[in-house]
Amino acid sequence: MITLTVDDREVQVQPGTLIIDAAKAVGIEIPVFCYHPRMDPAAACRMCLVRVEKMPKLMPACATPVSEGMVVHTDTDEVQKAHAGVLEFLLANHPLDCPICDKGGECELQDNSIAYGPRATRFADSKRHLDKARALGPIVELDQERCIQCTRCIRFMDEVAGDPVLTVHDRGGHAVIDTAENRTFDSIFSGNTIEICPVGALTSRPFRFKARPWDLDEVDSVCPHCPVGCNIKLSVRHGEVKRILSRDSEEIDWGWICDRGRFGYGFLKHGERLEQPMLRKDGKLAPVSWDEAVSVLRERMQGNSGALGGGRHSLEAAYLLRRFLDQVGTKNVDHRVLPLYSAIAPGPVGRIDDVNDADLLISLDVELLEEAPVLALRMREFQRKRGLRIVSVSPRRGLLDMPHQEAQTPDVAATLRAIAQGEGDIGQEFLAAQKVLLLWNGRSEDVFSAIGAAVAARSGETATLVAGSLANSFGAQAAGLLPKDGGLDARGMLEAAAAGQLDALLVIGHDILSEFPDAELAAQAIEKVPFLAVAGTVPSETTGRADLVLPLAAWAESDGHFVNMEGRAQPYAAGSDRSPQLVDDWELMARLLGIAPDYEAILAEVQSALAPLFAAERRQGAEAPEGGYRPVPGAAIAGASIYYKGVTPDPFLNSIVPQTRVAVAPDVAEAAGAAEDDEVEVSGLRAALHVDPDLPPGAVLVRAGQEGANHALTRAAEVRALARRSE
Amino acid sequence: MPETRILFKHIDVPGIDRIDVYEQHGGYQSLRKAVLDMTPESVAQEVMTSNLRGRGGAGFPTGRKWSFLPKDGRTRYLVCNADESEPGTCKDQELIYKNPHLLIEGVAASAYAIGAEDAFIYLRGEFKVGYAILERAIAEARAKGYVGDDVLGSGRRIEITLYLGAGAYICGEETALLNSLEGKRGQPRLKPPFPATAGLYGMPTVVNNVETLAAVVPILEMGGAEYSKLGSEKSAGTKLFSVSGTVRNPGNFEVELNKVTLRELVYDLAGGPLEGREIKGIIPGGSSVPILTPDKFDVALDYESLAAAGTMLGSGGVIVLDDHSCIVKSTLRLMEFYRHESCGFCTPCREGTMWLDQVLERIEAGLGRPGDLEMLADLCVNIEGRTFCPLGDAAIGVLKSGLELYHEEYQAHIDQGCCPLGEVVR
Ligand SMILES: Cc1cc2nc3c(=O)[nH]c(=O)nc-3n(C[C@H](O)[C@H](O)[C@H](O)COP(=O)(O)O)c2cc1C
Ligand code: SF4
Ligand code: SF4
Ligand code: SF4
Ligand code: FES
Repeated sequence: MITLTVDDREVQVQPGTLIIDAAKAVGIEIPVFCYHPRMDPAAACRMCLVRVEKMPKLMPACATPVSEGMVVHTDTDEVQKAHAGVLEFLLANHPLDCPICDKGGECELQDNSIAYGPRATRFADSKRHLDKARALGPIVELDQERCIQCTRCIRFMDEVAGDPVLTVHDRGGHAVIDTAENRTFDSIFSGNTIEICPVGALTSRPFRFKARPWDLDEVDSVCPHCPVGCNIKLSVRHGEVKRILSRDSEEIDWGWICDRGRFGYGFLKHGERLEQPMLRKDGKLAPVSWDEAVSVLRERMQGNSGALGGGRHSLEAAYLLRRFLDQVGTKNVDHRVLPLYSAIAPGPVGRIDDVNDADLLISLDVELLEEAPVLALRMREFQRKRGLRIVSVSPRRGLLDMPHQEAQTPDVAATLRAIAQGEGDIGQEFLAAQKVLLLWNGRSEDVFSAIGAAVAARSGETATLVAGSLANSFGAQAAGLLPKDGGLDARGMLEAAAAGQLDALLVIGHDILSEFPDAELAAQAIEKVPFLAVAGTVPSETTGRADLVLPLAAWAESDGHFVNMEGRAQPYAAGSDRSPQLVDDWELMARLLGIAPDYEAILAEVQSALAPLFAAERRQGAEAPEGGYRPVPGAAIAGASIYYKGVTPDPFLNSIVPQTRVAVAPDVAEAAGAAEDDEVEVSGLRAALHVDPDLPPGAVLVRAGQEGANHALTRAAEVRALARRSE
Repeated sequence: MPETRILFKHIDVPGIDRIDVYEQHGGYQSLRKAVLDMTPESVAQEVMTSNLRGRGGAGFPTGRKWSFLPKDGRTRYLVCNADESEPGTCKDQELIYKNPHLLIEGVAASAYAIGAEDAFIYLRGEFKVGYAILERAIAEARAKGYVGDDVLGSGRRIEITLYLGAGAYICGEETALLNSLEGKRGQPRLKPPFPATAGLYGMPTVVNNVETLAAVVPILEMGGAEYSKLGSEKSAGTKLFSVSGTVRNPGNFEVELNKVTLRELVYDLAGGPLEGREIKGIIPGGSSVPILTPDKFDVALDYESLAAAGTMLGSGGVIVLDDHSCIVKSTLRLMEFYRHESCGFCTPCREGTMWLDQVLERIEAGLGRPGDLEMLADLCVNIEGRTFCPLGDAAIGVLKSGLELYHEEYQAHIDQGCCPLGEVVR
């Protein structure tokens, strides 16, 4: 420990601590602009200058490490003058359009000016004029006049996201932020720059000029879009979600969220939400009361029935659904509607912060930025800081966007087994490493069992994380939404339905027609099943074919928990108003069960029944589930897409979703006589072609959830050239 | 008062830029001696003994700088700073253009001394001709085995790579130079780490000025001890001074440090003021240092004497202002330079130079306002010592002293709404 004095107060901190953090430890605040606790210091803005005795000049507190016996003054006349001086410089050319600025009220320039600024400016010459609305990409717009050149945005993209798309153009007073080499700012992490911009220079298209920060209420929530479970805040005005911000969690996200999480709320107020329960009468869907809807469903489920879904809804709902199914005696239930074998791997369940001290991370077929984006940021950070070793085992190359070793293999399970037996350098490393983290996409049974073997082969600490699932897939699985004792899995249920052997099917939170990885089977099942009930938030093809439609409150309109990839149950609170007919997902289940929809009581029951999900201890891994996704040989590979994880009718999000493309290995393209960007058809899916040399020979890849993709996942994938790009 | 020509000994020899002529005048003997008869450590020791100080501006002892390289087996680099962009300074240019082999020999011997196989010469963007001259000279040196895979059969590899900058003053600052050399934006790096531990591509690196590295040649020739006898204890050796401004005989002069006064340099060697003019001030160390008024002209030219006089030796760029030179216009001209050259990374320099420039421009145009001078002085206070790199201090060096020393002249601009020298110079 190092002892120093800040403003006559003695502080003890670890060596290497920066003055700014040492001061914070005793409650002394030093103003900053460029400093950000999650990034390396830049010392650019000079706002944080302090007097350190025995140093010739004022020192930047954000970049000066403490030393034994150091004496720091943060509030002398000299320091105050320096603070006011920097602010006067920053304000000299600032446009001062606070009244119409998105950041007004939560702007660090405003705050620091009030606390430390000069009372008046002496600047009486003409201000610099620059571009007020420069679109850097589909989401972010830059007001160059408001920028104070703190370089937080540049450093975020460079250091944290590993994609140095932003840079400074020109120099001196003409310096402006812009994209490098005319790129467009299309990073999946772009929104973070808006949030960390200390002023209103970076703005988002959906939020620009939409609300004043002081008019917004903040509600703690959790992102509903992937199993990372980033902590977020809903900014709400008049009951409507206006934007989403991060909520820094040390263990999960470090204050970063991806653009899917940040902008994926437009469906909440989309004009075509499911608004009220509808029952098919005389061939047409007609409004019914909730009482009638619930009693019809309860009755129909008494027979030979099944239920699909759960990964997109609350843990509470999953738990109560399980209870309801037990009550009616059906064993047919499966949360795995998308291509997934298990949301929980064998072996001790990993924690996201295992990345911090793991020696080796083996990624099993995970396409990180599509399956668990924010996890990638932590992996990069610890790779950069302490050289975390990362190996990707997959038939595909290039799945991780950080330096890693590729172990390309047609058979991930076999390769993992070989590694577990100490084969090759990776095998040796695997056995010798103190702590290994296995990251998996959850897709196939043989990898599941290979993971079990690998965990057993090691004497050191080993932990496993599944990336390829939904926000509550872990919770749904832990709550028991899996077939057991001979019950049918998702495919089994649809096959039974198609064969006329299922009386009723309840689908929760999925559009099985477009999402289940066998479009034809889903269509036949719907055709044949005598009673189809669909509960969810937005209309889809599937709801259109349903016999009973049950409109649910979305996560932002409801209280509940999602269980992330670590098995951690995280609460989210209702922030947004909802239309009067909507019910909470757990409320529907409670009514089906016939218990009172008393949230506190339900939560207490869930907490005691599923206690490990709420406890701090590491969770235990899963037994091998029955059934589950099986890739069809010769069919397209089911790739992932963060944007398709939960198709939502969201005009803004849809406008930024990368163009639908089918990726093929170069040999496939050649055989089909098609080239990059040509229009092709693969088993009914029409899309532009992307020739991807990282795919193994013969491979075709579609994005699960992409419209029409589920046709290509079941039939031998044949690529047919339709039109040349140039035509 | 004569010059003491050591670096400039052969500067006027016709054809000295060709290797044969250079060799005929004893060229490459120092390198030969170094790589064939001396260990790298003993070469470095000679430089340490010589008390040579860096000629790039900061005057840091060269031997000590070299000794900071960590002995950890990592690849080391030598970088020669030939960015020479400081207004009033043109000594490196003359050396490079006229006697390129002296620099190449110095670079090669220094690379040998610090254990670097690769040396880089970073040239100011405008030195396109210098680039070509050095390119030819390096080819000649390579043909003779002075650079290449096996220097003079010693088994040592020493490569010299030239790099032409894009024309930015800030790229003379050593860490901005390293960024630029790596292909990045020319903007200074946060220190520590210093280049000695994490320099070019993160490797231990020595950055030295052209004149510094050239001086290694005579040091090896005469021995460090002998060299240290030149000049004074703290300011050993000879130094090149570039005298510019309104003098009869402007140019570069090599004098023994501490043995010549500023007055002797300017009035004797550089020929003194033009007919009928009087010198009113001299900026002795490039465009970044405080001005000296005539009462201080007898200061000895060395690091400590100039510091005692309240200014700096800097790069040795001696800029002469006479009674026809308007102080407002002169400081404005310099501020335009710094405003243009600020990299923009830190607030006080980026915004401050822009602001100072606007106010000076206004005063010069006769639109000065009461309070402007006090404000200028205070803005200097808000810049000095507060910036990320020394360019901020450099930007205000002349202005700050000018405001003190020539206050009436500034005030007269404001009061009269025009330049009071207008009559004199028209
Ligand atoms: C703004 C700025 C510009 C500089 N320009 C030069 C230059 O053009 N040439 C140079 O040798 N040193 C220049 N320096 C000094 C270098 O940073 C560095 O101190 C020097 O190259 C070290 O060499 P030396 O020890 O041989 O003097 C500059 C420094 C600053 C702050
Ligand atoms: S745009 Fe914002 S974050 Fe980026 S440099 Fe400017 S002020 Fe900083
Ligand atoms: S990484 Fe996942 S949980 Fe985090 S913001 Fe993105 S979609 Fe949401
Ligand atoms: S003082 Fe600041 S703005 Fe000026 S050149 Fe140095 S780093 Fe750049
Ligand atoms: S916060 Fe320290 S210099 Fe910007």
